[in-house]
Amino acid sequence: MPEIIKKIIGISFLFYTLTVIQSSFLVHFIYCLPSLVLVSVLIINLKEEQKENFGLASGLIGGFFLDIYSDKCIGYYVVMFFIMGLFLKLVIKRILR
Amino acid sequence: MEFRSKKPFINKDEGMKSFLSGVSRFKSLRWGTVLLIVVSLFLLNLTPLSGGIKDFLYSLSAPLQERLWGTGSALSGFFEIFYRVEEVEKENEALRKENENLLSEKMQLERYGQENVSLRRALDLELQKDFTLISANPTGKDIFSDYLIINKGSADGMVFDAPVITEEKVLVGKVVEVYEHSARVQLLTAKGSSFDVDILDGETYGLAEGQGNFQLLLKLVPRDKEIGGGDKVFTSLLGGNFPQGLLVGEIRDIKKADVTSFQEADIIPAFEVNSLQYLFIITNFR
Repeated sequence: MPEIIKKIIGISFLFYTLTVIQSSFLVHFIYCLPSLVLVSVLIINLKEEQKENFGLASGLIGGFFLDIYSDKCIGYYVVMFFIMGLFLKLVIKRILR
Repeated sequence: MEFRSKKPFINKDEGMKSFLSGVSRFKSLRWGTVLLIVVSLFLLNLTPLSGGIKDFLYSLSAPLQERLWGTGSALSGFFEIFYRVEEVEKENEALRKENENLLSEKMQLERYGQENVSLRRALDLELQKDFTLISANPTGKDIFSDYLIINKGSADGMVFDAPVITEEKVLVGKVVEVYEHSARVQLLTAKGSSFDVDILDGETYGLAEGQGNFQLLLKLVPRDKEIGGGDKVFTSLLGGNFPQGLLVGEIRDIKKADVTSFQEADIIPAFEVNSLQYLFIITNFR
């Protein structure tokens, strides 16, 4: 199996688990906890190299799971995270590096 | 000595052309992917496929979520005591006073042969008498807004727009999305939720409006009507959204401005999301 497919399956499983845990367990303790999926997508985008696109893919997958467990239509967070990924890639990285 | 390069000679223009065509191929591939995603999203939202996907993922995670919800609910109650010691002491004191008042009220009520404690405990039987109910368990809460996911769907007789209550006849919200084995409940406090309410005496009406983040605001109460902190708020039949007489919450922080002809107040909802274990859905209201 190609490396990228393995990575995508892994990240999908991780984001699904994070969403389920946050929406059913962590909501009892901290209401204002930021979305764990959002934080993960941010970290992946910031850590990866400029030429890699896995951050964008992880944004799409993470956004999809957040859309599933939120009241928004499917695509809302997908688009938001994709734009966020592009923003991080095109602007911040060019300024910082 | 003649120097011969092994590399084939490449014209500068040809190199540039090949580079540009590579860039253009790469760009078109990217735009193709974006276009594919956008079309997929449109298809998902315009067809019933999105409901099917949501239902599948909810059903898949429901057993785990039920356990996590139960564990979270139990643990949060346990840990809350540690960082709310002072508050708990004050609450305890207030409850003790309230208990004394209630005891005297109870004596009075017994004397007149009205409702007694055992009848109150049998409220669930009354519920069954008043409404056709489906019981469900919450399996998750929306991370960003006041919505719950419950483990019953159209296969169990769930209907759209059905009121959701607790066993104590406390209104929790209404069903806004129904899937085959799951449903989404909009809590009273969610943004966009508004319904008519009746305050204490049955002669004062107002509009309760969800503000999000478990906040509920009472609006459109005429200035000349006397309302006080602690007054109970119930649902009214006026708007036709919910059955009459379901407990919504208690009034706190009344805001009266001289320039407006209405007064506003915060309503503390009578339910706590953390302690919701069993929910009842009224399926025969409409």
